[in-house]
Amino acid sequence: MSPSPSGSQARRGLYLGVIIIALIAGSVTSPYVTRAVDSAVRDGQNTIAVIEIDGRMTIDTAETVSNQLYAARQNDSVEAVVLRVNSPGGTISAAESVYMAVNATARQKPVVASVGSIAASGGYFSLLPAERIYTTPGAPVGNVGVIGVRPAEDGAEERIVSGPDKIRGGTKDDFRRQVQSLQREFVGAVMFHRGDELMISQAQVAHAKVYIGARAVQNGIADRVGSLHDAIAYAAARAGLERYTAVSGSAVARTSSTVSFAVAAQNETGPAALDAATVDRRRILALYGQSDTPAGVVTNATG
Amino acid sequence: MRPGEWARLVAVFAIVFAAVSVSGVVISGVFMPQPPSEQPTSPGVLAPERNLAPTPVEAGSIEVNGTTSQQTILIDAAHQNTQVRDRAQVLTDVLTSNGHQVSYYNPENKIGQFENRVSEVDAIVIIAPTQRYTQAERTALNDFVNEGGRVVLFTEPKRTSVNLFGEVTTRVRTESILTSYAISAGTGYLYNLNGNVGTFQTIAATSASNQRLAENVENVTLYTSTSLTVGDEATPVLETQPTTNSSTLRSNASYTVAARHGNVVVVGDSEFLTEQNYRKGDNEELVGNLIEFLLNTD
Repeated sequence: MSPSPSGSQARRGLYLGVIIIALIAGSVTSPYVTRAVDSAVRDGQNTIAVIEIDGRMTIDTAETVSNQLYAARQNDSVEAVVLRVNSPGGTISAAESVYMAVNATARQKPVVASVGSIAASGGYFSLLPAERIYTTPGAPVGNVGVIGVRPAEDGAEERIVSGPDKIRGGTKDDFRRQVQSLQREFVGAVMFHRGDELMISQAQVAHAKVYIGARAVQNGIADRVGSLHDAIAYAAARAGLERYTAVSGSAVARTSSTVSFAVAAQNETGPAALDAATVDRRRILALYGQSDTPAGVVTNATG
Repeated sequence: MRPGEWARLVAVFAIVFAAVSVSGVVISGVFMPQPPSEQPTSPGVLAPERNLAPTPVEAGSIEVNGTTSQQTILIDAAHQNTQVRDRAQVLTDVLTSNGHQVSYYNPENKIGQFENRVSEVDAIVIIAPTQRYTQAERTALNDFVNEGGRVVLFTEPKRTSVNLFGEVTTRVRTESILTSYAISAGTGYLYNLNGNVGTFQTIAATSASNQRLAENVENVTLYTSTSLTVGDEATPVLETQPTTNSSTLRSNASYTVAARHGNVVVVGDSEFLTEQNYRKGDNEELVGNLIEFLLNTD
């Protein structure tokens, strides 16, 4: 016996009602389900990479830090990066290299800086793209400037050169302009990244003073007095992580397959063998304190 | 309704509910943004056109106006004068090419020599002496000035350099000479972090008076200058821009960097005199004016 037309319509209406109720109920619960699944998936890989910038910066240390930052960028499990800085700077090219790597990282993931014992000159330049700078109250921070050192005329050896600037790399005027250009770059970077926070003028920044951490926080050179753990906690909060693991930058680089190529390429070119500092007797340093260079012309000799 | 019908309704509800509930997960998985690819790491901050220092304008030549008979100009090189040969070379070349005699004073035995030599010359140039003048030498210099002789003295701030043994400070010893002429030189250097034309110690100066010495001098470039304090009897000749700062005073001001007292002119820098620097800005005008002053044709 076939169902009557009225019974069939009632059944269709019943099914339609059930589907509509299911749609509404599903829509209400969908965000919770999505969040729960996302959280479950993330639980296994929430990582904060802690990358250290330690000691005087050379092109070798810059390569190491840049590779770790590259690995952190490529590794999906790394949700944020904390730069742990204990450096008075070093060569300007090393500082620039790390700065560019930090800048690239900050475009993709939260980057927070933590100053331990010192972040001066090139050490400070390197961390500028960080969205927040934590510092210990007594750490020297700042010293925005460069030092040019060029070789003195040396008549001790007989030599034949191919051009008037072969030995010293240029005239004093040329060197002045190079120092000036790099000074503009450094000060410009500080104003670009921290201009809104700074309570001191561009000219005051260019004086290249070094501030203790507490004063640096007051004048905007840094953001907060805090420890490495404070920096990690803030980085985790910025990445939206409730549970996370902090791992060293070297560990991130080791576990990342993408970085092995970069490391291999570095070994092929042999940066240690072609250390700019040992080849180029003329150096421009982004360094706080005395350089260990032999006697030469210090362009910003002070009284 | 039959029992099988109820089961079908429950199944439809469960399927639709489950599909909608997990749709967010599926959609977020499908449309989840991929890790961004590597982008250029050099931001505008490092753009060369933003940072590269301009090349300063170098033009012009030193012109010496007015005529005079051949004169003898003594250049002091006996008081450990800083790089005196380099800094006096342009002056020597111009004076020589205009028919005058230039004599460097650097005897092996200085006792009594300075007093004798100054009486034989028409003008004296003193460049950054780091050794004190004796009382007898100062007296001879004063007598020379009082009798109409002209003196141009270039001083400079104390300098600190580094060698194998550590920091070495070099201080110019001009204070005992300058006190006779109501001019005093500072020990600190001047600098300008707002619009300096080289490194921070490279500063611009312009005329401070209508003196002939400052004629056509609108933009002199000085390399390591100290400030001069001028008494009532002396006249400022050149002054810096108001944004100039002093390493010792640490305050912005227009500092006097050249001054005149009768037959004596004092300039706070000597590096602008070198062959590398004398054509920057209006430096050649200033050098020409100083030569005319020495020759007494101003």
